[in-house]
Amino acid sequence: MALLRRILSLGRRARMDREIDAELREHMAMCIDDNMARGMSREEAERDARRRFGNPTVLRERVSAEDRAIGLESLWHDVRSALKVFVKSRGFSVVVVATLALGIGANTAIFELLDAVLLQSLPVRNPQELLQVRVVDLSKARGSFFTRYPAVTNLVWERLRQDHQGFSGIAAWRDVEFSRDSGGDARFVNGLYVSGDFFGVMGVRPLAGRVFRAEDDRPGCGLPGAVISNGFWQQEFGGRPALGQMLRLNDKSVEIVGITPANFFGVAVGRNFDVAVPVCSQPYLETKNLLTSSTKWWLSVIGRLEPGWSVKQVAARLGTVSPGIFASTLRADYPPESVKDYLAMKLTAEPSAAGVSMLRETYSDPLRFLLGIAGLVLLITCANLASLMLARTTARERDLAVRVAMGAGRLRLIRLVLGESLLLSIAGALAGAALAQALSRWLVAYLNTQNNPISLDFKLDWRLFAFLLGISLLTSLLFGLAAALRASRTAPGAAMKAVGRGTTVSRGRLGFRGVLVVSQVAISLVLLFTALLFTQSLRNLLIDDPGFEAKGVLIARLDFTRLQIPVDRRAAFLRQLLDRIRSTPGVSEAANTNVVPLSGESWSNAVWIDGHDTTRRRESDFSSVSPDYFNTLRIPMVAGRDFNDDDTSQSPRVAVVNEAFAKKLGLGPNVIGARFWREATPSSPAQLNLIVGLVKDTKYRGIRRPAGPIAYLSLAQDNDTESNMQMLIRSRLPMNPAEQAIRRTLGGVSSEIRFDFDGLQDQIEQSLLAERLLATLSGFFGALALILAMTGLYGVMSYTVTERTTEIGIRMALGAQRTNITAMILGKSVTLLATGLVLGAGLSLAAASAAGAFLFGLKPRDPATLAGAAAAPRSGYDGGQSHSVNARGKREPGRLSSC
Amino acid sequence: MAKNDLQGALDLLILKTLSQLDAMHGYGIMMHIRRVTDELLIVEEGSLYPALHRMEQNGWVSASWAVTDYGRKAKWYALTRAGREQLASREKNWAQVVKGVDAILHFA
Repeated sequence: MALLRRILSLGRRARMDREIDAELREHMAMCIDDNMARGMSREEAERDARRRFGNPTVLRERVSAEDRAIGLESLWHDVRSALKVFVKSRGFSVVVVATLALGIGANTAIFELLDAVLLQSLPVRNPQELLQVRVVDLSKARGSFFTRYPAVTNLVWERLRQDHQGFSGIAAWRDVEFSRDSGGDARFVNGLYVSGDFFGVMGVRPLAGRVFRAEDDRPGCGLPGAVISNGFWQQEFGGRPALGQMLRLNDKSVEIVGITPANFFGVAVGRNFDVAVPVCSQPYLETKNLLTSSTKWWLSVIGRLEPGWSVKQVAARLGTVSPGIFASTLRADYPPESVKDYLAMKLTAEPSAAGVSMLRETYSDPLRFLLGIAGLVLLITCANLASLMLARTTARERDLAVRVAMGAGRLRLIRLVLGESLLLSIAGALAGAALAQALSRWLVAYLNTQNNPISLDFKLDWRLFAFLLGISLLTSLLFGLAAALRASRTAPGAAMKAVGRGTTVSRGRLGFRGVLVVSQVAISLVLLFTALLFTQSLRNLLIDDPGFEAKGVLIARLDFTRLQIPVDRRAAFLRQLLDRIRSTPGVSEAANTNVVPLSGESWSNAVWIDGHDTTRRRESDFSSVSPDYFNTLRIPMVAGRDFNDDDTSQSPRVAVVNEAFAKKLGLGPNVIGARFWREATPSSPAQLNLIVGLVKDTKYRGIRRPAGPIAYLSLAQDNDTESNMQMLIRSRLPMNPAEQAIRRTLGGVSSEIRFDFDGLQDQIEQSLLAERLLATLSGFFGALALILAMTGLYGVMSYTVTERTTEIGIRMALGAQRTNITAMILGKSVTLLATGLVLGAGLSLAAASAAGAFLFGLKPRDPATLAGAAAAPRSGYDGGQSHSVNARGKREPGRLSSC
Repeated sequence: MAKNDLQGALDLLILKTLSQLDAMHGYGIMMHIRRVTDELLIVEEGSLYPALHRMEQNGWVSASWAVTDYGRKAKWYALTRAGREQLASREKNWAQVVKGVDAILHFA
């Protein structure tokens, strides 16, 4: 209770001090009374009492120290007196708080992003119980992959649903885009296919209406209803009653049956869902049925751990039942030569409390690196403030000396100065937190692109609070401690000196400030160097020649499902459409392709030369293109011919290959006329192709990866033409007028065609966002660090000069020239600078190797290693014959993939 | 083993004095100890007041302002229940300290 009393007595200090004063005064009086009663004169009595009493100030301090032993009261007192000091020296405080706000704000903003992307758990009941079920090595799987998240086929999922021992519940989901229009400019919503138990397993209760139950999700269910998110409800209905209303998704009508609460965004962090429908609705919403195939890897599975089971046990059990599951889900469409791999696949489970996130995979490393950089900037800020505080403490030497003379203890002085810096850093942290809100939102806006919208949930949670508290405590310690220790060494005699400043300066003090300056220079050099590396790397990526000319090329994604053109007439329709586009004013060339290079889409198959053993198979990337594709992209033809209108489904299959293809397959000089086999795929048997053309190499999967072998097939010979297509259009007009012209042309063909546009160059630049983020922010931090270090150096030097005014005066009186003095001062700063630079250079080399993974075209490493490193995170998803369609490719509903 | 050893002696003196005098101000406590011990023990203001205030914070003594016999206003201290318990345990401890020190002194 004593503590409570102390807390309650906070702020009553003045009254308590008065009481102590009165008590001691009365004591003295009684003593004097007694003395006089014993016959002393009044003066004698008073002198004797005072002698016995000792130093009254010390006694009062000690007594009142007892009254607030825990120190709450005295801390409050320190804070109040510090506040008074700061109000008096407003300029100083503003500078300190502003500097800190910048440093802390930058750190907090990046931490917030990191927190939202990496650390926060899913907003569902007991997220730590959630496990993700996945195939151990998906690279051996064949078929179509709809996501870069781990996925299984619907057949495998159905087996898991039937038997999920170890899970108290299990659910499957897939994010997808549904179109909301019937033709013209495409509008999409973020859709979610969910299994019947999904919301139950997640523990999400409806805000209104109902969520799906197991009964909703059964084969042949049609479109039993849609559950919409709170965000979508607000955006589309403005919060008005929505239950029972009809929505149009992919030209089908569906009734809204429920709304989820505001905090539930789905399972993929950074990608909020708008509308969820049961998995069984897939065949109704899309042209291809994914439910019955063993080669469509599209459902991600998430389960809730049964109490009493460990993750290890569940994973082990999944491993044991895997052979049975895969044996029973094999279908005839699975390529025969890969059946052995399929049967050997294993399932496993791993914790998934934080959900899955493409953002996490792309940005977690850059964000961690940036947090490190921001930490260094904060360190420089602290060093700067430390020397500022030191200078101030020195200026306050007299004030401190008086306190010492009055009986203030060493700890008391340390606390005084530390209290001041704590107050400053808390103010800085608060201002920084406010700044961080704006900064982190700016960062998200920066990363947000039209094709990859990001929605992140920033909340002021305990983690952020702990971060802020930690950072302000740390900074106050860092920049206040030196000054505090310095203050505690104040000699009481210092106050007695008539002149507070001696003629020369003790070396020790400058020494420490010198260390501060040196470290500032060193760190800022490191930051500048890293910034330069990143900028250079980004520049390398941007000017890197992918082998084709992306500028001036428009990507038009077309969907003509509504026209219901039979498969055999689609190729002809596409040819006519292409001719219409080509004759549009401003258009110089146009071509169709099913894979846009550097878009993230990919398709690869094994190939071998006709007549060679199939053991000499090689992997090659593929692309189906129309005539004029190479012209449109300005890919030089080395030999042979382009595709032409004579290449039809009736004529022999032809192919154009690039030089890397010819080299990898050992074709030598006789490329044209050679024949190669493409392995069997789920949709077609092995095919023999005649090489009719040879083109230069181009990049396919990403700017960072070197150009590899590509085989181009003729779209016209594709007997499985989809009802959607990507058209590459080179135009002489700027992008916007070109888009307008093409929009008119398409509208003239049919109002039922749905389309959206993107610039090829824009798309490539958007794929470099992580690099751009690193370059921009590290540049910003580098500049900030440089400014801080320079002001730090200037501050220390000018302080030294002021401090040495007397000494300099004497030197000049003794005949020193201006130049001597200047040389002396300059010499000092040059030494500091040089030491810092040398140290920084050493550190920079270390930093560069840490940053190596993010760099492009800067390290003298062999390309294979680089490619390997860049490829590693993705290779798991590119296996087999795949159209790995990422977020971007998903724009076309119903065209999730084709093979 | 006796805890609070010799340093607790001041607390013990003050607590015992207060138990003997019911309530007393600081100066009175000082003079009482001085008189009773025949000036063998002199408690100084520099120790007395911090100790009194600490005891007050600990809830061993309660304090109130009242007028002395000589018409001066003073802060009077009195034992609380916790203070009496404290005194009892300190007395017991002290007896053991004395016994222990005695044993050392008389070791032959």
